[in-house]
Amino acid sequence: MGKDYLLQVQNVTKRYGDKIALNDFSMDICPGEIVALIGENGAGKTTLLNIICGYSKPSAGQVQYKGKNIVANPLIIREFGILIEPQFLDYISAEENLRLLSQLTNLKQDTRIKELLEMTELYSSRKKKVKEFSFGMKQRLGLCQCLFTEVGFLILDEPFVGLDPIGKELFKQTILDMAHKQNVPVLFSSHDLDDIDEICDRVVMISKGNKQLDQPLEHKQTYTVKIERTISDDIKRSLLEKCSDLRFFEDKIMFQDETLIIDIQKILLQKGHYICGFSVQKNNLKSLFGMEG
Amino acid sequence: MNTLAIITKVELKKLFQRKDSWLMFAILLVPILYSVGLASNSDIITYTGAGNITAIGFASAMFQMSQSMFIFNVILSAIIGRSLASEIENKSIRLYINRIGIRKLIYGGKELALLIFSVFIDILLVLTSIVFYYAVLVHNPNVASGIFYDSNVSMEVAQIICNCMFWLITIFLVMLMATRLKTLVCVGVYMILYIIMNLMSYIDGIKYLSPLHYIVVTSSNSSQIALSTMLFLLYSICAGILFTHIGIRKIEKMDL
Repeated sequence: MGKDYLLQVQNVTKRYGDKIALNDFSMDICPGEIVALIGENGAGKTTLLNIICGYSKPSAGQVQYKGKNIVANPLIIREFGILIEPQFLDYISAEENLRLLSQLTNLKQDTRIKELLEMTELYSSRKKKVKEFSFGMKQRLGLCQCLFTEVGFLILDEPFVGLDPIGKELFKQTILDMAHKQNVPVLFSSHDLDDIDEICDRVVMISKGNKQLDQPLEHKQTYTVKIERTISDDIKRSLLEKCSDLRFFEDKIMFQDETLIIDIQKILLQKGHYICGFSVQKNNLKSLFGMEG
Repeated sequence: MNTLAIITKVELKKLFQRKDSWLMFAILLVPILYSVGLASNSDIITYTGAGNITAIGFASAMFQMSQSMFIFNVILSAIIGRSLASEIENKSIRLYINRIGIRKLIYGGKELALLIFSVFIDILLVLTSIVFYYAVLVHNPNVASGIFYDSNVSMEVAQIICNCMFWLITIFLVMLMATRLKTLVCVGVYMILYIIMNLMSYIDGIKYLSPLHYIVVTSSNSSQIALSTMLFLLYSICAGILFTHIGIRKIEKMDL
């Protein structure tokens, strides 16, 4: 039986004139999953988030939420908690912005407004006009907007930018609580691999509008063996014949199955090489991209 | 409360919270200054009308004067531009996308709020004119007759209605422009269109396409006032439906 997907992005393409911002992109998200979108600037992350939120229409393909096409059923976007770029009226106060939201949702939510402003530590600045807010304060207010009503799906574009450590922790804790306690899926983009590592279940990498990687972040360990010289193609072939799940990086061999160490040692000795270093590391995104070690 | 009413209410609240909207209330200074100037026999402000003016006649004259000053058309176009074009530009319109979802309701609610705002200003202008007519102007018997209306009332009411409808056409037109252009560009294009409409109103054959033609006819004391007013009413309804339809189609397709 297939997985119970809440959100499905199906072969979405977005063109701006001749430029392809997103190319035949597909991904799925299950309830309670925290997924990070990574990629260089201009890779197509925000374009994808804009399409999911219904701000942009795809040139081809579709996005389904609970099995319904978002373009054909724009009302379902009401279930989304969205933080993509500031969406405030800067000439009114933080509190008035939230009141405006309560009017739009046609609900009297004075208690909720107070609760959210206190949670984000904006209560003392509630009467200040938003144009006087710092970027971090605007991010916090954005979080208030996101969580104002009951949220079925949380979408955040670079949520940790401009936040102080306490603010960052607040955002992370909120994301974890939403996903793990309320089973709400969270999709967010970020450039900070450490933050992603800390809270995400899965990472999706986009480059030039194409999906490059879609991988669960299983927090296993990576074993690294260092030999005395750069690994030749001949050695790589011999090692891969015996053990397939290996990665090579200059003079290092990386693997996740600790039982492979004996076979690797045997093959290296047969080829006249010796191991000059060995390390065990908790898996993280940086090691995945060979940026560490 | 239905969704359109919610958006309209929120938009009206926003309009009154914005300082630029309050500039429009400067239009009320026209009857105030004019009545004070005439009552005190100022050299700067003079009255050259035929016979003494009635209260409704004064209100009608104030509408024409406000229209000819043009500045209020510019202010109104900037307010309209800021309601839609600026919100598209700074992405704050996304608040509505998240909470309302249906784009035609967002466009409709914004337009309806502006129409209500414009009619509210029109009513205030009429009331201010009448209040200052009786409070101030009536003290100058060379100008004011002291009576509420006379036999010219139908023409004067037609003039007020046509001027009000011109503001409404401005709203329909600039809202449409705001789906494509930035606020300042909207104001610039509107000013150019206003000049073109003004020129068109004097050219035979195409003058009927210019809304300003109908204002000229109603203020010229001709026998065609009733017909012109009816035609202008029809023109405004058609323009309103057409511009709103195109604006909604555009906003439904665009990336916000």
